Amino acid sequence: MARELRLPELAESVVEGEIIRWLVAEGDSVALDQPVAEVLTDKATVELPSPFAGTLLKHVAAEGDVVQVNAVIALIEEADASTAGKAPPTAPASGAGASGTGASTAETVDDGDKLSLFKPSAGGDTEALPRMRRPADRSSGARATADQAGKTRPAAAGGGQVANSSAEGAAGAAAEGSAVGTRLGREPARGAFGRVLAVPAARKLARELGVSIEEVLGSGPHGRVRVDDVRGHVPPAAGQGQTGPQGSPLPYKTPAGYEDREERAPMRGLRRLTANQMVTSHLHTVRALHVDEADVTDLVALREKLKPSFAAKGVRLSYLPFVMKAVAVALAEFPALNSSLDEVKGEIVTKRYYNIGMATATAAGLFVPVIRDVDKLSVMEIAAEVGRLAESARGGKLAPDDLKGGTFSVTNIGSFGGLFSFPIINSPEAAILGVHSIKKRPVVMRDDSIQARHMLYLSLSFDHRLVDGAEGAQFTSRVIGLLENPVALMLDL
Amino acid sequence: MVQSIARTLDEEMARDERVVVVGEDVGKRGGVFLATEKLFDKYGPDRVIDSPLSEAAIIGAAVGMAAHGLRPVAEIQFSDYVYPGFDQLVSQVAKLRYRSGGQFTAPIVVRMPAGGGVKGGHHHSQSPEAHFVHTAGLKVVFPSTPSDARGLLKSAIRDDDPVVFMEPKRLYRAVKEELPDDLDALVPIGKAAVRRVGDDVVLVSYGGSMAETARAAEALAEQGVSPHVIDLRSLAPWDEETVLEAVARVGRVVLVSEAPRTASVMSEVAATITEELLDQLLAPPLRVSGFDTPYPYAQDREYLPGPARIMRAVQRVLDY
Amino acid sequence: MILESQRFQPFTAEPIAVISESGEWIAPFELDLGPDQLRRMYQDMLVGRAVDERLGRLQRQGKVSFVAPSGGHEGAQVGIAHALRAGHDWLFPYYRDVALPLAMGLPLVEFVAQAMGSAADPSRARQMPYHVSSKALNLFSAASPIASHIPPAAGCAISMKLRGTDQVTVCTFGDGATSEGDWHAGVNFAGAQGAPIVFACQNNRYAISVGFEKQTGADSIYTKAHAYGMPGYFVDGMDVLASYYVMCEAVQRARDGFGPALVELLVYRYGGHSSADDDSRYRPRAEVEAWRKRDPIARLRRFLTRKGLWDDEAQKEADARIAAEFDEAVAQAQAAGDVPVEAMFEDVFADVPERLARQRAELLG
Repeated sequence: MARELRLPELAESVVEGEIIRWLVAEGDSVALDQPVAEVLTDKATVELPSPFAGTLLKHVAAEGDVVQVNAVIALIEEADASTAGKAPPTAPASGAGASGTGASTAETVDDGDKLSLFKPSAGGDTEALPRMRRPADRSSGARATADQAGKTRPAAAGGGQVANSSAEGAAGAAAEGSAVGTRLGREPARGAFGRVLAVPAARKLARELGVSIEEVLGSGPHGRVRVDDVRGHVPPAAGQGQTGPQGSPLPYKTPAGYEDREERAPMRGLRRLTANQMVTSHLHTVRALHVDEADVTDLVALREKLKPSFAAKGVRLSYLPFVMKAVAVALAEFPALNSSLDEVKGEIVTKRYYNIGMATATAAGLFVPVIRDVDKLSVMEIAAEVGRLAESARGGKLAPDDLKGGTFSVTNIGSFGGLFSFPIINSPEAAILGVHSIKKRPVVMRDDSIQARHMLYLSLSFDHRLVDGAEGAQFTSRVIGLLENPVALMLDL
Repeated sequence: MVQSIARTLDEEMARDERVVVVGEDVGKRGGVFLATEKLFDKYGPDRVIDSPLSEAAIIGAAVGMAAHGLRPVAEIQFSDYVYPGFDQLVSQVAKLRYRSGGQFTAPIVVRMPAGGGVKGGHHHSQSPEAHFVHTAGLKVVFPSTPSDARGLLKSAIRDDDPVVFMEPKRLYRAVKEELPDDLDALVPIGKAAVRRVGDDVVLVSYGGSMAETARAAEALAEQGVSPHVIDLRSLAPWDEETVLEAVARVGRVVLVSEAPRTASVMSEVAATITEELLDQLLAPPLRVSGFDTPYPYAQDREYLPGPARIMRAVQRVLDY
Repeated sequence: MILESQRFQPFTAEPIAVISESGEWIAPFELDLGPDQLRRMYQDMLVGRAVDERLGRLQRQGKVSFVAPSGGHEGAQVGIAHALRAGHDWLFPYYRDVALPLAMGLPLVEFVAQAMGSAADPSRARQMPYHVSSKALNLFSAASPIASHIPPAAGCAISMKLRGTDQVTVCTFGDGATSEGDWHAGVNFAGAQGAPIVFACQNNRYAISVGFEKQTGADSIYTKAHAYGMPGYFVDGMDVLASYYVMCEAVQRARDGFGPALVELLVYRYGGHSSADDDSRYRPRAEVEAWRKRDPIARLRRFLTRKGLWDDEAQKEADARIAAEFDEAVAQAQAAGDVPVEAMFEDVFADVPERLARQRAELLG
């Protein structure tokens, strides 16, 4: 049986050695403990005694080679199996090969930092590394805290992973969050002395928002209250506090006789976050709806015409880029639609950048990735970015930055049918535009003829505190005007 | 790294004739780890002083030399052997400036290889830095890269106060790096290095444990968790600003050091984080450390906080 | 190893003395000290004795926290002081050195201010009493941990040797120090390096309460010099002139490149170990009284009187002058006021690091 002769760790801190001289030639026999090679380390020159008796088959390392500790330097055909037991192994067999492959993969440099200096030990890390689970609220929680660290402003609900654009768009949330189940019990989890379990940052946020931590239900392990739980907490509405205990959740009672025909599952992960965001939006916006229709017959034709040239560049062209482009143009003219309300300071924040979120349903739940500076992008560039973000969202590869900084959202609801809907605003944005399916309908034209035209319903849901009804209507009309003259839109006006 | 130290000693001895090296085997042998290699041939026995086998004599004599105007760099062969010289470090080195009202100072550097992972058992593997950090009047540094070792050793030699210079012996030959030609490329004492910028969890480490921390960071990044990695480099004073800034931003921190956990340097870091940033924390600061046992021989690797242990702690703070 | 001017043999069985108990010159060589220096030596001893007594009184008044009586050590200490080139050579003292630093030239106010913790202490009131230091006099800062100053003293001497400064280090300690590992470490290193240093042991035969016979199985300290390859001298430390002459020879020998020496000066501590010690628990009064009869001050006075260099008038004048100087020193020390609280945070390092600055702010509010 051929045994591997490895370079042992000859002294503390020695990681490599140079083969000075082979003392046993290939093909020669070698006795147990017989010196086989001279090795020079930076500490000393030593002779390596053979841990096996047999025949030296091959010098894997040549004279003059510098080899890593634990690397194979020779193969020895062991004379007889009985001696194998006596031979002390010079290295664990599991380390085999790791030195070669391990070293090369470790060359990868992380963003130019110095971590790559620390190579795995030559013996290789045989330790199995755990698979990481990513809690659903991980990034949003951290980021909200980061914001507070810098400035004192209340937690912004925007920028989270969860879309709150439209109720009907939310797919079932796959629970990928913490392994410990979310507590939906009616009492907050408490420690041994009755104090509610809460992450310190969550306590601080609760203080800032005037929320009693006692009322917040925690989604962390053991029911611990996290930052997102506080943010998603439903405070009792004004005047409603009289009717029941503050923030007491609504119980559900199973109708008599239906007990065995219902199933219960904990609400957790994205589903719960989505619900929280929806409630936040519901409680912190005054929604008004404006619905109109656009004749997009020319746009349909233009898209058909452009499709091949876009496809040639690997970009799939949908209607969404045109809508976004039109929205960006209209937002510049009606800045109220591109604003937010800082409730704590009582200030209206008008943004002079146009980052448009697109609600995207995925198997894991609803996300609103953001396309930045849409006003500065061509339709081609928007289309490319839409494609990239949609793919990332479905692949679960959205970067935290992809979800941040939206100023207005668009939700495409067409594929699910229906005439129009009333989208939920993605707080703290001021409005969201629902884009519905394009259908041929009979339209009375200016010359009183009736034609089959490609018609599109648009439903603008806006926060009436920030946007007046007339502004909402004018904004929508402007978007329609642009969509009906798509060439002008393409020419960037 | 060990060549970097030898080269730095050579550069500093050439720069300043007050710099002398004193320790066991530092002369013709060039130090058991060769950190003083070739210095004896170049500078002779007056500046490369082979001492008797006595840590008290090495450190104590360095105090007297320094008070008399030299800039001694004392070598303790293994930090595990510093204890006979501990009285000198605590009673003489650390206190001289203070107790004399600034009349006498001890600008000495006490170098010592520390840490495990070399199959040395407890008397060749310990991490005694907390003792020194706990002693007012000592500066303590623990670099992890050759360029930091050089830059910090230069700063230490030029410092007017005593510096305990700890060297991660298992990285002596495992970390290689090109060094700049600049003879005055100093790394300031008290300044940490951000090795990687990330958003999900802050990993703080130093010395030999930087190797395992780096591997954990790479594995985390591959799995989509973004670690922010800080190499403290200096333990006394330590860079509170860099650590607190990162932890305030990220909200989660894991502290990695192979020293025994109880009353460790990382305990102090954790306490400071908690005092300063309680409201910003999304999870408790977790220490991943050596254990409160003597350093073992057979379980050399298991004792060290490896990548898997670091990653499990990261999971805990992410889940919290 | 042999000096041309050599007067004393090392390793004598009996302690070397040059004046007898009754004040006669008994040395086989001519006295070569002038009247002024003899009188100065005598008065230096008087100062040491007076400071010892006066500080004891201040301690009982609560103005000083602690005293370490040195009565009985004056002969050895003044002999050592006069053998040094003040301001050139270095002294690594221990806490019982009182007459020694003062005889070297340490201003009395600095000694008193150090004991009182006043702002006039150049060490900035950082140590308990009897821990003086003076950069100007190359008087290294005394430290309480016994023998911890021996290796630094050796290092200082090694530095002198390798830099060729013509300086000598003298390092003092008691008999208890010789049991410490650091004592061995330092003496051994100095021996190995042939460094210009004289180790001067003021053997008062007690380490607090533990008698010399429990301190070591050896008959003496000076014989330990054999083990370190250096000469050991045995001196009657109650004879200031013997102390002076032997120290001179050891210092000169070191200065001339012949390496270190160990000098054992046999003395007695009249008082307890400190103001916190009751020595009657472990020492028979008769023993103390017997040693008091060999008092170094009285012995030199008899010698000076015989030579016509001292009389009662001179004594009265000296006592009054020393008392006045002490009063003046106390007044100056008190007038300097207290060291400000924030000084606690200074001199830990060359600069006050940020963390310490925050702690200072925490204290000062």
